[in-house]
Amino acid sequence: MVDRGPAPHSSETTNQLQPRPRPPTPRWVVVLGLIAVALLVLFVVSRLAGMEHGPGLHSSLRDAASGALLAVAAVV
Amino acid sequence: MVAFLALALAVVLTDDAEVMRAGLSAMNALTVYALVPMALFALVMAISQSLVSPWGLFRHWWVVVKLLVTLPAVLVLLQYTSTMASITKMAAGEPSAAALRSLAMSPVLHAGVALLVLLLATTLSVYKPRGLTPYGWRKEEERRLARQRR
Repeated sequence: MVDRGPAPHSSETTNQLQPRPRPPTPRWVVVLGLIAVALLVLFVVSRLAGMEHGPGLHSSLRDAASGALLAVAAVV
Repeated sequence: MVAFLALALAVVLTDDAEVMRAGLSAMNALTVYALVPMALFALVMAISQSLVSPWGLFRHWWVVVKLLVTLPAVLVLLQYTSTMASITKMAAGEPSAAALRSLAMSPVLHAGVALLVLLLATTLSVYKPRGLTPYGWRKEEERRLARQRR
């Protein structure tokens, strides 16, 4: 009786048939998700603070922004 | 979207009230007759192409993120058509250039943000960053194990 030893690559074959653990979520997905959550929180806070989202929302920024745009246009 | 932003900037940078009113009216028409149909068409095409292609709709993170970015943008655009109509109506009765300019700031800001969203979606489509979702990983493993067992 010849001892043939263990079947070649049997442990490797067994390992290949096992499901592999899932790699972690990519960092770029986590970063974009955090940014989205932050924007959502800002939006919810603004709604809770009673800010109506309409053409009047940006009234406090309008004058500053339009002034900046006009200044840039004057320089150009 | 670039044309919309250009019109909005033209309205903000001019002092002629008639030009401002015409610009706001043109932006309204552009929104209703160009932006909305093209956005809906692009969304439907993107989803149907994902379902047909090997990339799938939920297997890769770049496809999922692009969908999560595009879908709210299209919904906001649909909601913004009523805002744009209100702005145009307000502009019709507004005599002063300063008031018209302030009305145009909302379209400028929204168009700027929309362009950033488009840039992000385009970047994802071009670079296709690596990463399988849990669903995609499970499908890949099932396929790999099925191949191994043959």
